[in-house]
Amino acid sequence: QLVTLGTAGNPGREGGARCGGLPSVPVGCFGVSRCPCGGPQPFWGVPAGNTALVLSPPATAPPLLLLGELSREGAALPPGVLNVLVGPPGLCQALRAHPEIASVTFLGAPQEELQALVWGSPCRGPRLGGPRGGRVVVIVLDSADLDSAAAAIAATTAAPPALVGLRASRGALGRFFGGEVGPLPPGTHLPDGVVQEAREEGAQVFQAPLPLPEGGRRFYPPTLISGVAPTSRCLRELAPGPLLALLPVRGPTEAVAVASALPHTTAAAVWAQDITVALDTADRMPQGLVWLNSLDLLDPSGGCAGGPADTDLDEALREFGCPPWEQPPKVDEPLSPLVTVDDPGDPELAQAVAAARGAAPGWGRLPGASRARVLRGASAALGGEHGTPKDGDNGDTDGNLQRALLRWAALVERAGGAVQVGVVGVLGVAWGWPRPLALQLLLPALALGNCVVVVAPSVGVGPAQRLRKALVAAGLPGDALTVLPRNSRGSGSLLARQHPDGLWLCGGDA
Amino acid sequence: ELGWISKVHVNRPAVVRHAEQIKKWKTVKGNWQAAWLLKAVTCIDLTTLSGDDTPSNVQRLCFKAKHPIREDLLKALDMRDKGITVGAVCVYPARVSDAVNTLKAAGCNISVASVAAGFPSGQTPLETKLTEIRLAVEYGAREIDIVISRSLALTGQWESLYEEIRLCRAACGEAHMKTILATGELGSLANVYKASMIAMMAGSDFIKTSTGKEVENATFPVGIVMMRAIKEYYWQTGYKVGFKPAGGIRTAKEAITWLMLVKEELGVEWLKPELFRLGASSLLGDIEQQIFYHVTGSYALQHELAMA
Repeated sequence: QLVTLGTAGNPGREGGARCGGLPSVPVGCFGVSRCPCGGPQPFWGVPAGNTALVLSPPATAPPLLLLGELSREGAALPPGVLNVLVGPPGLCQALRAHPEIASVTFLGAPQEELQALVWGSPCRGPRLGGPRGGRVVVIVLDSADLDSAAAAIAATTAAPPALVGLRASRGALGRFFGGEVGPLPPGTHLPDGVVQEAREEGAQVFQAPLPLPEGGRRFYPPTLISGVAPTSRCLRELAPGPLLALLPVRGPTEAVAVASALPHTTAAAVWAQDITVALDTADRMPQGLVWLNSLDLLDPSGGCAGGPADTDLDEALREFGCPPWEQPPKVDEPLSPLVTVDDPGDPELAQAVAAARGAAPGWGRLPGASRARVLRGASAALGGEHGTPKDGDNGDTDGNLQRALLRWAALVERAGGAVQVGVVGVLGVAWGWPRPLALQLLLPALALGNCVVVVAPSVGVGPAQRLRKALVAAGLPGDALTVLPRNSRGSGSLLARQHPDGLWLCGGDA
Repeated sequence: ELGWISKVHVNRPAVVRHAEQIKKWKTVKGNWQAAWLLKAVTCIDLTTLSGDDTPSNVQRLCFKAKHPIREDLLKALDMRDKGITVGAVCVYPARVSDAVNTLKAAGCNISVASVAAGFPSGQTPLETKLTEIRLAVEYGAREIDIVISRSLALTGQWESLYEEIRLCRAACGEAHMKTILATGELGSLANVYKASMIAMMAGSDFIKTSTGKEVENATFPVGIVMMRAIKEYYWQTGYKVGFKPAGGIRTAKEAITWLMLVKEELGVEWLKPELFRLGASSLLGDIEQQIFYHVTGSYALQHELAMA
């Protein structure tokens, strides 16, 4: 599902390229190093505007080569954007060392000796992507900060098997339980059998007595299994669920040996405060990705480790409607009190402009997809309301407005990338015509990331306030759109005195 | 037991990252939020530590301590007769007698806590520190908040630090002692951990993060490290030492986050005034506002809630 979104979207579409909630900035050229393990490999970086160089071993090359050829032919990608290189895994050293490659992702399980790329605190060198599937091996050496390691393991989404140095084992047991319990992914069996087998072989099994939420079979308590060996089933197989197996080792060398021998590991973590030992151990690990004193740090421009809660998949899917568990925003609820001054003078305008200036960076920096979502939400909110329109305009205005909102939402999403075009900042609009305020004019400004302060005669203010309510209910920051009713003339010059970044004067009386 | 602190390792970025995630935890809402807020109120040490404290403002503080939340709000929450008062009143030694007399006259047995031992810098000779503690106890303080000498901690003289805290404990006599570690001035999280362990080994009943007068006061990374030290001490010896974050806690939301953190790290047994306090002065006002909002649906004007 993730793959189709990534390759079927337009280049520059952000829905497929974001992970972890961070905006994706084009970094230039990035390298992808693959090992034979099959499965779909989404190239997230390409839609974000990067070029990719994929290094693949000969065994899995044909589909990638085909992809490379197709991308050139069908005019989907310009030449040079996606390059596939077939070669021995040793070439990835060259990939890592090349000065023009900005970021390296490792996909797949390790099969041969690969020198590890280290990321942790602090780190220099190319940034790394996250592992996809598989397990994480955590090595805790005796100069490690045990509490932080335990907290990080408990917080991580994938439960790793852990290797523990001798001294640390006594204290480790109590610290691993905590955090929230989530359901197992659908289609998997409970790991009861694995745990039972471990018990029969004499391992100690500790299960947290957490009160499990309703829903029975899909939840399994976090389990700590101690006293197992690499021959046990829980380590040989990839069992789903929160299982943590502890293996004691005598030193860093043995830790490396045992970690190399475990199957299905895509990444590793080394916890040690002694930096020489830590780096040395990390260097000798066969996994492509090794974290140092941390876990699950992901790089948004590389491969994505899933975690649907953090991606913008739901943002992108909103184009097709609201998910059933979410209500479209309601407009009838009262918002912050409206400005009740009939004729706003300098201080009120100053306040409105200052507030808009405060909201401007936040609104302007949001990517197009988020702003599009706000506009669509406002459109849904306006559509749901069937009350009588105030101030004498006909219901048709709302229909036009909704369509305009949707149109601008679509435009912004397509155009939206990290580079924002046309963000002015705070826009002041002084409306001088006796006719009601034409709201469609405000939409492009808002959609492109500006904040608007409107001064209009009180005749047309009703629908404007309704639009504002709908937008704020959908997620617009409250100060991004302010509508001030003012009946006297000269609103334009008053607004100009507040020095907004842009000023529209509409009509003779402004 | 120097062996306990010789091999302390604290990974600062990992702790900071853990602290960042705490801020993203889902917080309680509705009735549960009101309950947690009332629990926070009972754990507050209402504090006034300014140069311009006089008997009048101390008296006002004591009355606020006795009635921290307006009666009708408590009645609406059905908590009127549960004896909701703050945990203690914290003042300078010179004002202890005023506070004690006021509370006795009001018929209230909230303890008065006094800061001592050269608060806030701790750069006074040991003799004067001990005298100050003894005098504060004589004036009627039932809790003493002492300040450690940061110079001893920073130069690694752990035995001297232990000795100093032990002597202060002896001087406190029956009074309950909180040791202020002034974590903002200790330099590193490893030092915070070591100082916490030393303070606990020397007999503190509570360890407190800061004086409230430093640049950096109670932050979550420091709190996490101290709570881990408390947990470790409890596993080693079976003694439960209390924890008090102080300084910089101004909003009700922060107070609830601290309570949640204590519950996660130390457990529910620590969530009572005997083992957890919040050192704050303006926090009570914000909590009362939130409870007012919960009961009435709008925020109170300034004159509607009693001033501390």
